[in-house]
Amino acid sequence: MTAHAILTLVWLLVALYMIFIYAPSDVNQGNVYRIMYVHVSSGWTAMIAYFLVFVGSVRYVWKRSPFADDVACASAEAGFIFCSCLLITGPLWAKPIWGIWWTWDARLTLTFVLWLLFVAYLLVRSFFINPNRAALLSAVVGIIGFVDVPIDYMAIRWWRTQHPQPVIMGGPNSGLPPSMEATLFVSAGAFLCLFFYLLRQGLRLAEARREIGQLRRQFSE
Amino acid sequence: MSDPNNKFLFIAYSLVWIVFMLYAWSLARRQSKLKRDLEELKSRAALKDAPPPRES
Repeated sequence: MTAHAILTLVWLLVALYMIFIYAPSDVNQGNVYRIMYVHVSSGWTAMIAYFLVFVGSVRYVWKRSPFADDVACASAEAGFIFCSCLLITGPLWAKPIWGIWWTWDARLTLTFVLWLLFVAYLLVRSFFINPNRAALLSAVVGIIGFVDVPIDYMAIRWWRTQHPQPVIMGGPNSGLPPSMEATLFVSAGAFLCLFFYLLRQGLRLAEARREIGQLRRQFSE
Repeated sequence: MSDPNNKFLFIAYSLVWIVFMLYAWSLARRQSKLKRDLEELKSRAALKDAPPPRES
């Protein structure tokens, strides 16, 4: 077990302790509000993941760097997982609080579009046998799709949505009690640590795949 | 656990746990398969590069 794996595991356990024991119940929502810690953390991590997809894609298109393509691909795969968690936990929190599972407001729709962009990126990669073509076309998806991220982030600030206003950096009337805020930041940190661990594993996979490709080419020559 | 909404909390955390476990399992499976392929190709490459056997 690597140091990064141990750090991730410990950080996740601390986050779980804070979520279920340290953080108090919400006066209005009871315990179900605790979904927030995994929901918001998944959302932030998914957005950071897509930012890395964008950076890797730009660098690949510009410099044709295989490492940049590997970063974009591994980030898209892990980001898809976090975005899926975001879309799973959102309706499970919405149903007891709003009385509905889903509504097509700006934030929810743009988050669903973000999930579709992750899917599109990964599908484009799997459709093409030629790895250079797959890398280039998926990079185009990664770059164009990034338009969704800042709009998704700002949607609850720009428009009136069913989704609540931001609790962090949301203006003078927003905010959480200190114990809840600390728990949210620890949870988000744990998710980010997990994301980078998964990213590293994805990069190792990509490296092994590249090495195998080179060896196979040597045999066919 | 008297609050009826606690079931949503339980389901949310269980599903997130399952999703991460499945992804970690999928990564580990792919890594071990690639490792096996790589070792096989390396041993084939070593055989290819080795000098031909000579009669004694």
